[in-house]
Amino acid sequence: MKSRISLPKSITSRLKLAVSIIVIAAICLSFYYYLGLRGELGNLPPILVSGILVGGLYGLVAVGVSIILGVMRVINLCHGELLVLGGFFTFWAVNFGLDPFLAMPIAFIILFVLGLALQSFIINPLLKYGLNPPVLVTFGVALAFQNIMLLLWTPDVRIIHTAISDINLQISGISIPMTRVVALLIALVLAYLTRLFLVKTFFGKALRAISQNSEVALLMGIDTSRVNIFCYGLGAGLAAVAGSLIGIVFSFSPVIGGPYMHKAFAVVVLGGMGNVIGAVVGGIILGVSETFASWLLGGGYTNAVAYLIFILVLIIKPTGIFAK
Amino acid sequence: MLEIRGLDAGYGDLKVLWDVTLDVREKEVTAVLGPNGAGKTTLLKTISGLIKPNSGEIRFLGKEINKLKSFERVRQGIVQIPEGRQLFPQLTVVENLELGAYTKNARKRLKESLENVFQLFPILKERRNQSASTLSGGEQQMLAIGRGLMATPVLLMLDEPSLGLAPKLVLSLFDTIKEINRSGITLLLVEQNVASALSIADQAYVLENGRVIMKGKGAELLNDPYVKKAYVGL
Repeated sequence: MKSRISLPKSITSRLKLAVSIIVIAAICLSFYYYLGLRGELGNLPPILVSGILVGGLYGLVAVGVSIILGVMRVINLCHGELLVLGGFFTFWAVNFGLDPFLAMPIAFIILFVLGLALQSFIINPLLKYGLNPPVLVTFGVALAFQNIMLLLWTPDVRIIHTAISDINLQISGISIPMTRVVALLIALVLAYLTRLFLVKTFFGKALRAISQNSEVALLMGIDTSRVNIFCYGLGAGLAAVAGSLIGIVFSFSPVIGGPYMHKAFAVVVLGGMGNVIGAVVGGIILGVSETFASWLLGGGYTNAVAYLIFILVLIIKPTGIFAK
Repeated sequence: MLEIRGLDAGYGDLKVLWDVTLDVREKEVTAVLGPNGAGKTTLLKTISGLIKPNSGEIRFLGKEINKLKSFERVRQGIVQIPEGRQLFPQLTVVENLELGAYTKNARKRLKESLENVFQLFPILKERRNQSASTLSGGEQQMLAIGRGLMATPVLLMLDEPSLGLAPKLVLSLFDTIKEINRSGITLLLVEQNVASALSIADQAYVLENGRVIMKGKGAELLNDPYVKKAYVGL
């Protein structure tokens, strides 16, 4: 049904944009004054910084979810468990005496191969039955992996220790753990490389082509099932690095995968499906909002804020904030 | 070049093609005509391998290709330009063309093919870095054809290329199609624009309700009373 007064589409969309910018600006301004009244403006920079640092990690988890979702339309519900598994491999390699930053590429390769296997033997054969069976099977894989990890390696919380774990950077009065800075850098570099791969290489272009029209991609002579397999491997490998970084910056256990996957999904919705830059920016937005929420409302509210943002984006702009 | 014998195909329980027998001869333009729902697109999809036939045989250059997957058929030189352009809307013009040359053999000749396409459609060169979704309908059809040519086809199949184009554009489109054919590429043309298609076709088949009801030389069918009455509207 059309409304009686119908504005041209370009005007209404601009109006929407203007209104949302004004609303966001108003929220930020009132927030700023509120802090000024309480005399806590000094807390703003460290919270912003720590939010950005955490957000980079969310972004990296989301990049993997995003390319898998973009190419196969499959929500990879076992992404969190792959992430934890990657954390375990790095953890063991470090215990074995390897430097964590050398262990990460190994974890990447192992998970990459595991991803290839999962896609070839479990997900690919189901893709022809529509989208529900492959999504459900990733849920099954998530349950199986989580419980196998709990059984084999106990629910203990583990931390990956590095040579730089105890170093703090002091920048104009703000103390920043060195590990978080390195983790952000690694996340950004990997996201950038992924984007470069998608834009510059033939294989990456094929990946994007499949995400836009998989049947025609077949007609171009693209072996879509092979590209799917590689894509899933790449997503799993990126998850392994993200899991390792989470183990270095925070800690991990077999059960943390789910929440990270949920947040990554919120970030993907925020940044747009298959959009690498969107995933990173979305991750940082989520990270900053969470840190602010936990500072203002208490730590228990961080997840609530993540899902609130998720729901709001779905209601207001379901194609993601960067979609044209 | 392409021999189809007793082909039955469809979607699941829905049978669309019934005992279709059809030949495409080398260097010729073969047209398949028929109303909506006759099974023309299904026929092309079956030749491309997107649909598995229930029975019958498809031979290309003397070899049976029934078991080959879609991308393997493209490697053999069977290239389809799908109905309704079906470009990759968010990729640029050049990226769309490059993806056309995805197969190994085509990739080797990428630069050469790109030059050829730009020569055939100079407007695409001007718009090379625009995303495909910003092109006009006529330009999109040029890009779709260009993308098909990038695959260095032996047999090029066009599905309703004139669909949605202005009459003036349709004329120049058929000139271009004829030109492509003269460059040595065999064409299988599916069209509802019967008069234009028959004017460039060497052989033509009329498909109705999934069955071949008529076949003959292009010029012959153009003068056939049934075809005239049912399709040309004279």
